[in-house]
Amino acid sequence: MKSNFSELKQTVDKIMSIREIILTNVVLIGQTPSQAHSDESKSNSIRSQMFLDRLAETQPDELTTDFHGNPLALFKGASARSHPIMLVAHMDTALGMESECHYQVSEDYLIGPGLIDNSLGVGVLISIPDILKTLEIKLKSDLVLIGLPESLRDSNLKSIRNFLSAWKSPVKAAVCIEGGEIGRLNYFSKGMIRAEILCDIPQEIGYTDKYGLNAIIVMNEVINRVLAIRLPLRPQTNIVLGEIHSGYKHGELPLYARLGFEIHSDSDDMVEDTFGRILEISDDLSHKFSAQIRLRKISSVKAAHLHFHHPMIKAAIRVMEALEIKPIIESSESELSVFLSHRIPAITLAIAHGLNPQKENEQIFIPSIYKGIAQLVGVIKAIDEEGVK
Amino acid sequence: MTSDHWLNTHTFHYSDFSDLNKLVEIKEKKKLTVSLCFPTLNEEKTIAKEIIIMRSELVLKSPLIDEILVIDSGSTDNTVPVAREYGADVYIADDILPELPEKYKGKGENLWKALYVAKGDIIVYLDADIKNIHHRFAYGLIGPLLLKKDIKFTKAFYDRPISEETGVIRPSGGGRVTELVTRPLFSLLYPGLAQIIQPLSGEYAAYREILDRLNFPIGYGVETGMLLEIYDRWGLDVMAQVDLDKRIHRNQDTLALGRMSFSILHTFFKFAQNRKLIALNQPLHDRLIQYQAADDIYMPKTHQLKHQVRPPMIELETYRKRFPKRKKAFKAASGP
Repeated sequence: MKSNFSELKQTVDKIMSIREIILTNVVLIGQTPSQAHSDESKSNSIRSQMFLDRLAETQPDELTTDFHGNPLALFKGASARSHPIMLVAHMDTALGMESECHYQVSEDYLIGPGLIDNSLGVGVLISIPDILKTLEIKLKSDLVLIGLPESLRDSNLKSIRNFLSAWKSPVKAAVCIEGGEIGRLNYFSKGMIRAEILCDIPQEIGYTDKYGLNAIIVMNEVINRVLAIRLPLRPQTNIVLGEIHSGYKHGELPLYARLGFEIHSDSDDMVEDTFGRILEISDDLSHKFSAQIRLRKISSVKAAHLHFHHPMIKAAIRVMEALEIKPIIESSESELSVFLSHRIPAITLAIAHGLNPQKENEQIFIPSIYKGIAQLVGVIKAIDEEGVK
Repeated sequence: MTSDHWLNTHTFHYSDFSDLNKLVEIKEKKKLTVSLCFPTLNEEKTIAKEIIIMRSELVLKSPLIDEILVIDSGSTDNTVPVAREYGADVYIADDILPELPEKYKGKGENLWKALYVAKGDIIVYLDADIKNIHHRFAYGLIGPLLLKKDIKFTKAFYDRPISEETGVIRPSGGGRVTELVTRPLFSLLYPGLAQIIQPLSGEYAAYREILDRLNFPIGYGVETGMLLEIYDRWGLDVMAQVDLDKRIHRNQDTLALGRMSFSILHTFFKFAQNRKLIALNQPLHDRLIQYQAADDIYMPKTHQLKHQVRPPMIELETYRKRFPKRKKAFKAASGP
C-alpha cells in the first residue's frame, strides 16, 4: 500500500470538530440496554433498534436487519467493481446490561459501564458516515457497517458466524472495532476453546455437614492439577484461568464452584489435546472426591492468521506510526477469527485509552478518541485506495 | 371551553414533533431564533452530557437551536469549566445586570437573567440534572410553539395519565409536592390549571413576548408563579403540555421538598391575594422551621427563604435597549 499518511494528524482536528456527534452516539448507544429481556430475542434488542435509528439519519443506501437479526447499513462506493469493506463492532457487553444506565461526561472522561467493551466501538461505528462526510472522503468501495448483538460468552460469536455464512459475495477486507486499548492491533487468532469446570457436592436431604466436602477445596485441587499440565513452547500453548465463583457466606460450606478458562494455542490439535487432558482430570477428581465435576465447552475458534507482511497490516502499522500510536500486537479470538477463517483479510483496532475495564465506572479518556478514529479512517482509506493484495 | 376539552386539545406527545427537518424549515420560514438555557448550581455530573447531545442533534445535525446558554448561580464544582469546554455560552448570574442593587440566588433569578443575555425569539429552559437527557426534551417543547398557531408556552410532563390500549387509569406521575400541594391549591382557586399534569416540571419553553412580561419569583416558586400569571393574563389556550416520556433526575429528600412546598405556598397565596381572590389579615412569614431528631432531642432548623420577585424583564430600560428591533412588541406590551 502506498497511501500518503502525512495528513493524518490534521484529520484528528477535523474529527474533533464533530466530537458532539461522536460522543452523543457513544452515550446514546451505550446507555441503551445491550441485552433484550427474556421474552424476546437478543437480536431484537433496543440497542439494535438504536443502531438502526442512528444510522437512518445518515441516509445509507441500504439499512436493514439481516435474517439473523444483525443490524447493518450499506453505503455505496464510487466504483461498482470494488468489493465491499466491512466494519463490525460487537454490541453485547460482558456486564450483561439488561436495563438502562447513565453515563457521565467530564472535561476529559466518559464514565460508565460497558464503555471500553464495547459501547465506544459501536458508537464510533455508527459515527463513521458523519466522520467520512466531515473529512470529505468518498470511498471507491462499498462500506458495510454491521452491529453484532451476540458475540460474547455463550453466544460464541454467533452473530458474525451467521452473518458471514449468509454473505455469499467477495469481501475486500474487514476491520473489527473495539473501544480500548488504543494501539491494539490483532491480525491473528490462536486456536481456542472456552470452557468451564463445574463442581457440585452432593448433599443428603435436610442435612449439611458444616465441615464436610468443600467445593472450593475440590476446585483448588482441580486448579493444581490443571496447572501441572506440561504445555509446549512450540506450538505455544497456554491455559488462562479467567473466572471463578463459589460460596455465598463466610461460615457456610460451599457446595458449588465454577471455574471459567480458555485454552489458547497456535495449533488446533494442541487445543483439543489439552482439553482432553483437563477432561481426564475432571473425571479422575470426580471419582476421588465423590463429587460431580463436569467439564463444559462453551465455545471454540480455529487458529487463523494474516502474515505480518500482509499489506493491510503494513498499512495499519504505518498509520499508527504516523499518529504516534504504539502498536500492541496480540492474538484475538474474537470476530477477527471468523473473518480470517472465511479467508477475509481482517484486523482488529481499538479506539481509545480506557481505565477500570469491566467495572461499573469504566472510563474513556476523551482526547484519545479522535486519534483512535483517525487511525481507523487511515486504515479504511488505505484498504480502499490500495487494496489488500 | 370545558377543562376536559383543554386537556384533550392541548396535550401532545414529543413524537408528534419528531420531524426535525420540518421544524427547522418552519423556524427559518418564520425567521425565528431559539435559545436553550440551563440554569445550574453544581451540576458537573450531568451538564456536559446535556450540552453535547443538544449540540449534536439540534445545532450540528438539525439547526433548530441557535445558542446554548448556561446561567450559573456560583457552582463550586466543575460545572462552569465543563460547560465552557463543550461550547456553551456560560454566564455567572451575578455578572448579568450588575447595576441592579440586589443580587439573589435561585433558579428563578437565573431564568429571569437568561432573558437578558439570550438572543432567541423562543427560550427553552431545561433543568441541568437530567440523567437520561435526549434531544426530545428540547424539540418536544419547541414543536408546538412552531406548529400550533395559538400556543405560546409549553410545559413538559413525563407520564401518560391514561393507558391508551386498556383505558386503565393510573397515577399521573406528578411528584409528591405536585400531588400534595400544587394541584390541590390550583383546584381550590384555579381549577383550569389542575389539568397540567406536572406543573412543577423544570422543562418549559415560550416565546420571549410571554416570558419578558412575567414576574419571576427568584426561588422554587418560579414554576407556580409562571403558570398562574400566564393563565391569569392570557388564559389556558396559549399553553400546551408535552409528554416527554421518562425523565430520570436527582431525587430530593422530604425536608428539601418541604422547603420547596413552603415557597410554592408563599407564591400562590401572594398571587391570589394580589388578584383579590383571598384576603390575608397579616403578612406571610418567610421563615420555615423544620425538625430533625438527634438522640432524644428534636432539633429545630430554621430556613430563611427569600421570596423576592423580579419584575417583568420588559420593564427594564437596559433590556429594551438591548433588543431595539423588538420595539413594536415592547410598545404593544406596554399598551392598555
